[in-house]
Amino acid sequence: MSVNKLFNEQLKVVNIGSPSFKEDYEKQEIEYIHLNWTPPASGNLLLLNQLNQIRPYADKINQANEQAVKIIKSAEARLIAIKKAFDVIPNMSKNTILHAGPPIDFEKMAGPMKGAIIGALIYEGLAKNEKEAMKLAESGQIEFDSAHHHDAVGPMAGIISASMPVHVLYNIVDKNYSYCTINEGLGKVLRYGANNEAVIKKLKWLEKTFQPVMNEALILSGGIDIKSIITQALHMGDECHNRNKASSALFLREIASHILSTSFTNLEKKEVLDFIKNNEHYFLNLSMPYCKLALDSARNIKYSTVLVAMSRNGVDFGIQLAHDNRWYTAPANYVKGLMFPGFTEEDAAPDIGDSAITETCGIGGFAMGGAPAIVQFVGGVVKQAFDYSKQMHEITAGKHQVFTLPPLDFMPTAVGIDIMKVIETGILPIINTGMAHKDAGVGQVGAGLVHPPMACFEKALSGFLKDIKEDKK
Amino acid sequence: MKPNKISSIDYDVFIEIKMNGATIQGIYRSTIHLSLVDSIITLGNRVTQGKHHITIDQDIDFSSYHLVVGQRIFMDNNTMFIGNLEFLIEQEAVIIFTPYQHIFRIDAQFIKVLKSLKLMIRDQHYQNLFSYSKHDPLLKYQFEKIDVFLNSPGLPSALSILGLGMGLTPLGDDILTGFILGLNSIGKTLPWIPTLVQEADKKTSRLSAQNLKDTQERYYPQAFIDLLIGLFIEHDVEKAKTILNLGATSGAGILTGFIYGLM
Amino acid sequence: MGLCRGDEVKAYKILKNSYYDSVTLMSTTVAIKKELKLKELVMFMGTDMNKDMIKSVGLFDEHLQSAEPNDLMLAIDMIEDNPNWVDEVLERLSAKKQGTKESQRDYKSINQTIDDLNPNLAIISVPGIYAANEAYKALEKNLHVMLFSDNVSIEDEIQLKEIGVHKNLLVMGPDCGTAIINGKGLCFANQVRRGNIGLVAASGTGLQEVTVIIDKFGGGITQAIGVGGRDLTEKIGGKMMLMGIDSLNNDEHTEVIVLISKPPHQSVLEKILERLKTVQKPVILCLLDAKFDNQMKNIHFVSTLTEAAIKALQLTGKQTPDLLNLDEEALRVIDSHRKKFKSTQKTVKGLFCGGTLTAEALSVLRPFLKQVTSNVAKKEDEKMNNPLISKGNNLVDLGDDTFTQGKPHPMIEPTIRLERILDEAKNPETAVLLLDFELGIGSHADPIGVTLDTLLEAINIAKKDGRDLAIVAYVCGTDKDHQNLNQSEQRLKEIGVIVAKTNAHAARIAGKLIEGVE
Repeated sequence: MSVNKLFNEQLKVVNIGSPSFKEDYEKQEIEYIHLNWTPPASGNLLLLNQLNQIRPYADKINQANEQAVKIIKSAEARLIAIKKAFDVIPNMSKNTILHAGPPIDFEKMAGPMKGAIIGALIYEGLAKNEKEAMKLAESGQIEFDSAHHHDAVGPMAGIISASMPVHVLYNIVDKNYSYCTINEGLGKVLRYGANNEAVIKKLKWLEKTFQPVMNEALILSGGIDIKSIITQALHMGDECHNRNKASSALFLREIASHILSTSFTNLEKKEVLDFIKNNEHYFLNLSMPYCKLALDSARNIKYSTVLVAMSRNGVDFGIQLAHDNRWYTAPANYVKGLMFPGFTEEDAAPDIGDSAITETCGIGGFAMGGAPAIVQFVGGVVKQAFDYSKQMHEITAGKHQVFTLPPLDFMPTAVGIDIMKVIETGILPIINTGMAHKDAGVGQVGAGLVHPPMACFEKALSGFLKDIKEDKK
Repeated sequence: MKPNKISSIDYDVFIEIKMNGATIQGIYRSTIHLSLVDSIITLGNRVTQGKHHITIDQDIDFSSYHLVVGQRIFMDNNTMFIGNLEFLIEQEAVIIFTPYQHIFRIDAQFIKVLKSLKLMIRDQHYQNLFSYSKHDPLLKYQFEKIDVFLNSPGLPSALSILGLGMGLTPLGDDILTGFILGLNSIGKTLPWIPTLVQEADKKTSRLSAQNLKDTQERYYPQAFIDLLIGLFIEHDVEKAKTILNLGATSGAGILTGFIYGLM
Repeated sequence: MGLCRGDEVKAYKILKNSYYDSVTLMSTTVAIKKELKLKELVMFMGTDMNKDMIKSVGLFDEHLQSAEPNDLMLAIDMIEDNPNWVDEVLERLSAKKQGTKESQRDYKSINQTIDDLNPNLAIISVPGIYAANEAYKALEKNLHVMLFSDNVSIEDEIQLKEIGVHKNLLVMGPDCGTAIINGKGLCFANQVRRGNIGLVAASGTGLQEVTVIIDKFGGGITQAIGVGGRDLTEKIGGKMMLMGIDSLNNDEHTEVIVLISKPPHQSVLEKILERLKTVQKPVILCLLDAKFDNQMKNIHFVSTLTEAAIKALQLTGKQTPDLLNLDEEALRVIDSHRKKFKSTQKTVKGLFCGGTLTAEALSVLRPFLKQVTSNVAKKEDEKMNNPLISKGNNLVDLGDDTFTQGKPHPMIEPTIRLERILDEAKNPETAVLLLDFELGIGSHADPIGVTLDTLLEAINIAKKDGRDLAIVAYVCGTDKDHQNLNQSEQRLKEIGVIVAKTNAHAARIAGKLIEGVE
């Protein structure tokens, strides 16, 4: 009998509340820990009430979350091809333009995203210049949708149009696919809203040269194991969101000889190799679809409060639960960090892009502890990088197995962000990300840290609670 | 912060540490054990003074200082250095400890006190000879052997509990220590005790063997002396509390052995 | 190094020259066995006798033979092979050495403490609106709970206790101020000898009083379980009281059970009596103001805390002096005061820190007086109009919610009683001042010390007005409490205060002082 068991044990106390009891424990030599307690849900009684209402379902929720984490962790991802978006992305027409973040009307979109769309329309040949492109975009003839709804993700503006080549990733465990564009590099590029001649030219090169060479190289290689590269890169100081040097180098190492073995000209092969070599963020567009793939395989697990998506469209931040496919949105925050020379905080657009999918899957900001060099870009000190990685364990349902951080004694990264824990502890997931200029076409102006708005989680809690209560009937 | 002081140290120990230093053998919350050439010294605030004890004037949580087993400690100019800790040794603190020779009488009141003592051990301690969990095979093994010894104390039965039990001083040894203390207190002795103490060197831990030898030679820590005076002269069973609270079962073991040593 | 045989794996290890004290070894063994779900784990010094012992339980391996008396032998019997077992044991052995109770780490949730401390009890004193939430979390982690907080909803109390009953975990509270578990006082409690009397109480100071009296006369307790003031109301149904009864019934060290509460709801009382039929041990039922004609085998009904303690002591073979009757000395003192009372002095004013002590005093005083009111009274005609003003014979519990909003409880801060003492001293109708003092864990460091000057002043105020103020006090404490019971009582006696032996005794003295004065 458990009470009688207590009578035969040494008392070991957790003291929650008044610190004055501490000296009484000490006087009597009782082992104790005093909690540095703060009100849960930051003292918000409404939220606390909702959490209490969910309590009876705790077992179902825990089970569902365990399942979700298990599936996410066991996902594999091989890069098997690079194909035109229209050819592989589900439900994509010649008139479809996919964008980052939750759904949003063209009128409301942020500067960089509009700029990128204009660039895409010109690239596709659907408009001759900016004026035409704007008119077309506003006309209603273009079908805009979240890339997420099409198994795809894209960094920053995340614009995908029909002719753009995309990475094709395949998960042999759950047999699902994910897609992501090719990273153009730094500076004035489409994803930051630039749409001049040089941008279009590069997009054309990607379509005409890069895609065919790489696709053949991939066929020759039998597919590149992306998860394995991430695992190694985390041990080399990358976190695979803002710092991708090692992973990009590893990828080049894997694919280089296969590129050489293709049937294309030396010049074409050289251009492709140089392109990858010169882009130290190449791998971002592979780590993102890996995360998308892993998280998508955990969709539609009823009762799970684990996040399968965190994403921004430059105006709103949106999250999705494994439990259902709803977006819970709230206005996005501004990134806080270090500005590039010549820019100030006023120049920055709000948080934008699908790249928060990396944090959702336990890398990126969650793996900062393994990439302490990141503080040079986002600000802060190395200890903070370690602390963030540790802290994230407070709000997840599980931890990775193979993604570990050497500086923290190979501590695995936290995975499976649980909205209940976020609300109870008041700790928000940490994202480290780049800042875009608020005007289209200027480019990146800095990098830093940002949190999703708590409002997203509060809405998700309400929505989830409503759902499960209705279910009971 | 008040500087730390050593409030008592045996003269021989003082000289030896001064000449040869000592090594940290164990680190616990309020005490540490030091290993000297031929002895183990217990240092802390919660022990009483004695030949192989060094008492200090403030309670220190040694486990929160970065001390390591095997670390050397030394003395310089009448200050003892243990890691970052410094302990001043004043003249008065150095004591020449001598064996405690006093022999007590058993009177009617003392018998009453013994009865209360038995009850106190039984009630205060959940694992003792009078009430222990009979389902635990290890405890059963220990208590059965101890039972045999207590009911017919002799060299074979004493040897069968020497070194038996958990911890730095096994329960069997505690019983034997208490037994010898009991005999000593009323001026009795048994011919096999010296042999037992000799055997202890091989059959049990250094610390425990030292305890047995010290007790046989009447080098008592102050706690034992207080116990004897408290029970024999003051007839106050509460004076046994200090001993009873030693370790997990040590105190109860010593007191149990003591009671039987008087019979 | 594991030998497999069907569904068990045995392994061993010798740690050279390793010295761990028995407390560390025992607690590590218990913790690791539970954590790794082991069949057995033994850790003993490598003496010949210990080797024999390990042989006798079938855990010996010939490799352990080389262990010496200063080495530590580890032998393990696992259900499934865990190659890391030695590391886990070592980790815990040395973690214990680090003084886990106050490390630099910042603990923000119960979760984080599980690995480092392996707690078994959560003591919760956060504001009421958050308290239930913390309790749910603690129960989820299989911790027993003591809820010191009040202002927890009835619904939550019901739910929490249901979970507690289901999981066989204690939920002491809400509004539980006193418990003594395994000899350790929790929140507000006295240092009481261990013995063979077990208690379950729906009242803090009630529990304190009975345990203190038991200790005073040589008895001791096994466990004193608090269940919170509302446990015996109809809605809660006595859930924890019943669980407490069962656990003490099953506790081999408990020989007598004492139950303390204010009169419960009838349906709850019936449940308790029904459950008591399954108890073989003698039970003492103290429900204060309730009267009982029932005769039930093994159950002794008493109506004061003092009687509860006396009965418990008797049943465990301890004798007490007559604690309720007034001896010659007491009667003499009473008489001398009565002769000195001025004609205006007709009433007793009780100023209490403990609620149940107030209730007990009310119950004891009633027969002595024509009229008496109190802010803890349940009977209509005994209720006070305004708790801030004492009219006539009156007993005030200054620890009641009306007084403690935003202010510390008088047990922690006795100075809030001082002004009221002077008020009553100035009142010409006051003949007797009746006071309680609580010692022990949680209470003020010197409750008597901070009150003495005011008592002297009170006596002088009355004297100047030609009145003799009789002060009766009771100090609820044991000789092991850190506030020094003996000195406390001495200092009171020195200024002429009548120091009673128990709370009921104090009320009797007060009653006798004022009896028939009209």
